[in-house]
Amino acid sequence: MVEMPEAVVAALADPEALKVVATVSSAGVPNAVIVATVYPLDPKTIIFADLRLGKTKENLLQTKKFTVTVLTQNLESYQVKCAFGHFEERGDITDIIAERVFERVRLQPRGVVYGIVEEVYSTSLSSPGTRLV
Amino acid sequence: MARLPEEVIEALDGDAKKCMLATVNEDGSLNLVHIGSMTAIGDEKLAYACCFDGKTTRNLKEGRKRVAIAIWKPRLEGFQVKGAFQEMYDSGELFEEFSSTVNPMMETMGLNCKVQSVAVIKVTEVYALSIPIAGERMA
Repeated sequence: MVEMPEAVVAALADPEALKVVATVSSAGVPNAVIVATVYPLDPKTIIFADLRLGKTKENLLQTKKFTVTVLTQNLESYQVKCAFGHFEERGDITDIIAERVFERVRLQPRGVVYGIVEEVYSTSLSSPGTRLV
Repeated sequence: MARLPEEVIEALDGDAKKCMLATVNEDGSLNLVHIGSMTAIGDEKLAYACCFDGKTTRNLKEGRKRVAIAIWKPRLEGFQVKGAFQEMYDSGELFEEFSSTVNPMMETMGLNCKVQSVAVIKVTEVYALSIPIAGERMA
């Protein structure tokens, strides 16, 4: 298990940053969706709400991995590769996320996806592809 | 083959749009990067400038050749285009066109890199990513 550097945690926690989650099917077909609820629970764990996850959820169950890329308004960008941990339908974290999501979009999430950080890369133009962790 | 809906072409034309390109290597490992130069070529293809010889380019040439592109149009619109890598150009009209716009931008940003090639992607599917219609197929 690895820890994300502070700058990456800060970028993922930034509500103004663009966050995209990519998954892949067992046939090797990628899927990429914008997920505003991506959040660093701690330096080793990324979570996001299951709001309307269709293909993403299907792929997570098939191939057990996902990648998050974050792009800040200053054009700093990081790619975090994760192993799928689990879905949580009920619990303290899920309740907090559900409350936040409902405040923003008036929709009730079905749960929260947990991911375990495995690799971290810079994808900023100044150092593309540099492995940070 | 699918056609890009008008609103997706419009989003790609906008200066404020952001695009992220997901590719997959032969082992099924994902790569997801921000691409600033993603452009619609007509309504059946997308193209972007490859400035770095990294994983994305390798995945297109040697990997699964299937891609997914998330397009964000501030503040609340989003689309996903799925496609198949078609061709890489390192000369010709398209290459010159991208080079003449992207290279000066890189220089302005103080980056010592130039367009090495232009990748062309054939559009196969298009989906909405905006709440509450996220996941609906558009083409």
